[in-house]
Amino acid sequence: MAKPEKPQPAEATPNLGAQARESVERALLRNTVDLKLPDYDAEPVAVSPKEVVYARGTLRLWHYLPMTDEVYRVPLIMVMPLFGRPDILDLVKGQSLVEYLLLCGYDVFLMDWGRPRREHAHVGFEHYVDQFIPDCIRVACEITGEKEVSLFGYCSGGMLALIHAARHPDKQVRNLAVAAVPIDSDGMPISRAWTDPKYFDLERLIESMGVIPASLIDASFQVAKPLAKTTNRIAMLKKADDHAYVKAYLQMERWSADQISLPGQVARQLINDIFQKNLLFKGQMVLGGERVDLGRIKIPFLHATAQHDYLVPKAASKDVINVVGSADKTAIEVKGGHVSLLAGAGALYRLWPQLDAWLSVRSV
Amino acid sequence: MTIKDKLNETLPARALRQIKKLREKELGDIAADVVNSKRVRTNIQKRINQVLHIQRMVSEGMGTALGMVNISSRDDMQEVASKLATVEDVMAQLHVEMRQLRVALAQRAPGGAAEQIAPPAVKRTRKPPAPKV
Repeated sequence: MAKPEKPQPAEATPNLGAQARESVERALLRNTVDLKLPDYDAEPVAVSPKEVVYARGTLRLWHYLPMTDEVYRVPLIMVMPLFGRPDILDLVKGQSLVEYLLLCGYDVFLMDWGRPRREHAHVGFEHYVDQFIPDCIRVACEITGEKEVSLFGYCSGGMLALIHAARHPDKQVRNLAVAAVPIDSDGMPISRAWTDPKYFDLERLIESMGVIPASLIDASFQVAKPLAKTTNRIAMLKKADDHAYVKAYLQMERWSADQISLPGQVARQLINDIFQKNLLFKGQMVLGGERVDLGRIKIPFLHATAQHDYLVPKAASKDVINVVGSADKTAIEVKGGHVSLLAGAGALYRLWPQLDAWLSVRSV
Repeated sequence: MTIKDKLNETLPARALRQIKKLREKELGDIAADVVNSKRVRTNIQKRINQVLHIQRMVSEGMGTALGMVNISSRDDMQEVASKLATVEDVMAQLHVEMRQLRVALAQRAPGGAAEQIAPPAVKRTRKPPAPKV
């Protein structure tokens, strides 16, 4: 009979789980400070000093207080996209297009669309381009004592600025600069496919909610690049020890999660006339009984695009420059994506100086 | 063949190995193709319609039931939120009007007092910097 093995004392068996836990806890205790996420909520966004000078419904026209003793004669009005909060143009000190332009000596106004609600379901493109933008131009002219302004529109804000300039060619717009404007929906097959009326019941959505909810708009941006958020997060983790990078990333993330709803009628025109039928690009879009012809725009024109813009691909925006009728027109392409074009860390060296160089000589 | 070898030959394991070999861009393109395939698209669009229908049914049903026990429904709360937002809009308009009054007062006030009411206008004579040679 074999001799039974002598049982080993319990403490002699290496308990790897307990050892690992102890090591991790020790490391956590040692490095608690570094493990803390930056308190990005503590740093307020959109802090450039400003005051509201016009309000109509959810629309606000902000006037930023000049940061120089002397400003360029022609004031600049920034037209925000239909979907995004204006914070992106004035993210934080040192990473703000608005602050940059103020320091360059511009008198800056910004049109903030606010958050449309069910009662704004009837608001269409006509309201934006024939009422809201002209109202803001009038107020900016009254405040500054000038007779003309420059418009700068980003994304769908650029589309609104373009349509306004085309419908009011003899009015007070001296210069028109736009960035990442979706104009040719043949270059946006994904948006067109998702809004195909065969499958997407837009009328039902508008009837039910009055507006296209912000969450749905955010989801629609994700379908173009479903893994974008995940890969960005992985990239952020790789630089987790760089607090400035993490903070900038989280601020950008917070902004992109804060989309605004789209009034039902605007959604109807955007989806049916622009995404599905490409009427704006073809010069066949009709607003208020009048055809929108971008060829009527004759003022100095600048269009900026980003090389890696997947929300408004190059194919959808590159021909803006060709349809506009201006003799003085400039197209620039810079490195970056749809948002980093205007708000990324690189924008300070890429787009902003070019925008200033183009605008300054035309603003005297 | 060991159990480990057999497991490695299963479809999920092979798929995972393939995925691991792919680069970020290729993986992104595949995900975009899947998400934007007609099948996924039509199914999601059908679901959106179903959700809207269900939401409406539930909203109507719950609204009545909650109303009977004197409790606010989601629709009631949304209406309150909407009214509060309207109040904010009106407040902003009042703010604008007060600003206009302040400016008008400043125009009438004598020299030194005007600057206390509204800041003086900046000079609009700035010139672009001379191009670098």
